[in-house]
Amino acid sequence: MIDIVIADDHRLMLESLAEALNSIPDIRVVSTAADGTELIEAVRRHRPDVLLVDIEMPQVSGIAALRELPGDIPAVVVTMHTGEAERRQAKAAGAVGFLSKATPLPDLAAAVRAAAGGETMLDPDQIDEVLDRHRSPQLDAGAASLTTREREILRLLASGVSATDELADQLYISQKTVKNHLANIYEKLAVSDRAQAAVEAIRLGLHRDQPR
Amino acid sequence: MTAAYAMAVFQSALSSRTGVTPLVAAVATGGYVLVLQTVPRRWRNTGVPGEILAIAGVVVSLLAVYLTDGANAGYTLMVSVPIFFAAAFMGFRIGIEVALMASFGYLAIVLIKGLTFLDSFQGVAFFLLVGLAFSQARRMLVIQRQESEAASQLAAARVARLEEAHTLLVELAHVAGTSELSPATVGEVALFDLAARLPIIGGEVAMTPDLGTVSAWGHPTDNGIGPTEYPLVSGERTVGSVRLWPSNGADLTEHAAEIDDTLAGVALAFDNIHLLGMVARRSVQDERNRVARQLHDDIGPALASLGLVVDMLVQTRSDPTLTPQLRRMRNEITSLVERVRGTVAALRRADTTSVMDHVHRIVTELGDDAPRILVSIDERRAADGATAAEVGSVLVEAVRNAARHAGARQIRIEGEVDGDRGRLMVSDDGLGFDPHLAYAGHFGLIGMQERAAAIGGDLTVSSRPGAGTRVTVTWGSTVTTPK
Repeated sequence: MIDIVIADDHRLMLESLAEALNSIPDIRVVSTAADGTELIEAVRRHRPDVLLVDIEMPQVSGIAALRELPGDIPAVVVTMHTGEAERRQAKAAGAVGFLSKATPLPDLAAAVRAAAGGETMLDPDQIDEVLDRHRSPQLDAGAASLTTREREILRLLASGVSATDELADQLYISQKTVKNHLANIYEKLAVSDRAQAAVEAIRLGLHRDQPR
Repeated sequence: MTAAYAMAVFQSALSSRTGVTPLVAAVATGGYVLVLQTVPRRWRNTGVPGEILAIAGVVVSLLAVYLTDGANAGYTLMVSVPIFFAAAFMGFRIGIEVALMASFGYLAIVLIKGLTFLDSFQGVAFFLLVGLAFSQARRMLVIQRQESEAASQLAAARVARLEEAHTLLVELAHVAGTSELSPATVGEVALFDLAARLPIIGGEVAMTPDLGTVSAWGHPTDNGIGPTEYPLVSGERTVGSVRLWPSNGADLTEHAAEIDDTLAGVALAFDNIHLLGMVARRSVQDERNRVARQLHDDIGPALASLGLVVDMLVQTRSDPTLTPQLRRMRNEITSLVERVRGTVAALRRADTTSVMDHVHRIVTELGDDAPRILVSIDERRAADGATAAEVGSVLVEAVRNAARHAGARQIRIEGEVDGDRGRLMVSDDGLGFDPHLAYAGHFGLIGMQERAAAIGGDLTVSSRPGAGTRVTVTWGSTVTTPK
């Protein structure tokens, strides 16, 4: 799970960014800020893993806030600016990425993962390549070790199929095997029943896995 | 107040001692108070009459004190009346002078009459206090009045200046809409005027720093006599120059006064054109900044957040049949946001070089041995920096071809620019060429065509061997010709 703080002075943009990124299974928005001062405060309080920062904000700009903050938290600038000057400024202030506000959600999520993984996205020619390597969610060790069959069962659980016999019928396996798989799933996701497993599957985005 | 004083004096005079002396004192002080009341205020309060009255008051009062042996408090108080008048109405210096005079007089009486020291000390302290307190009060009032007068004068001056500026703006707005302010027209009218009255065979009018030569008349190279150059000066600034070629044997110095008269008008017109251009450029820049700010601060982010909402819709796959449309919509929004970003950057770019700036550069770069260049461009609203740069490059190429390859003696750059639309022509009197021949592709014509295409424009070249060349670049929708 990657904890992030978002700063943008445009209220609608801030809310949309927070809501959109919160819908990504391995990203959690721990706080939002409408200016540089709020950003500094939020970072001190929540110690997030990654920052998404707008440049132009009232009172203390994003760049000024980044200069003020310790450089150990990777920050990605998300801006309406296109200029080389702004990019250089962002880089000098310690930003690891410089993205357009037009960036679609999957790319933003990938950028957050890349930043958390210590990558930089400042050179426009390399951004796509870096983002491509971080498209899939980073799951916890337990969730990551789920087998294909276990993921299939989770997908069925999430879609409302929960009775053991139905699961067995749909997957052409015995009810005994279904129960074994469920026990493994409970352990890997640290849950204790089918309903909790279904909720966890949806949160992690596992219910969206394409069959085959 | 004085009436009350008179009453008190009378009363005290009657009630203290018997005899004639107290009565004399009472009559004298009462008389003084009456005089003080009858004298017009403007005499009493100012200047020499005021000083004389104050001193007289002190003398009369001291006399009363003397006559009554200082036994009567009313007369001692009476001394402070002239001190008060002097201090309150005539200022610090006179107030203190009168107070000191009264003090010395009083001390003298004290010494002569052998009164106690305490009495005298109290009296002197009281007189000085009255003098100080009232002159101080007066000073504060005077300062306050001066300040409020200064403030109202300042406000009046400001209103007057604003009125002047407004009148000027109204007139400028009127003049700016007329052809009187086209440099070429101004130059032509001036040359026409001079040619009708002076023995000249040719002339040129140049405007700086925006333009080179704007108008020319006659065939100045015919008789080999060099031109006389006159600077066009408006106020402190040189705004251009006029060159006149005299006829054979003519002496233009005889006509200096006539020339000065005509040129003063041209200088003023050029200066006005220059100032109007500055005002226009500044207001255009302000407007661009305002639009850029709104795009950057509001419209861009609002669109971007709309894009994120669509992303979430795609992600939830609530209705998979909609996914292709949603993705298309997302792509549209992404490209819209990118376009807003590009527009913001373009609006904020410091490069607001106009077509005119480029033309000026061309003219100055060509040097002295170059053909004569006549410029007549009406740049009503400056083109954006990128367009101006492309158009400028086309003009540079066309002028270079005319000067280097066609052997032109005169090149005209003329046309109109109006924001995102314009039409400019470069024509020369050089060799010309056959556009159908293979080498028509030389001379950078293809490059010029590409540049014109880059701004969504069109480039046409018309030429015939021996008949000069004309290059026309048009962009945006057709410009309506003024007039």
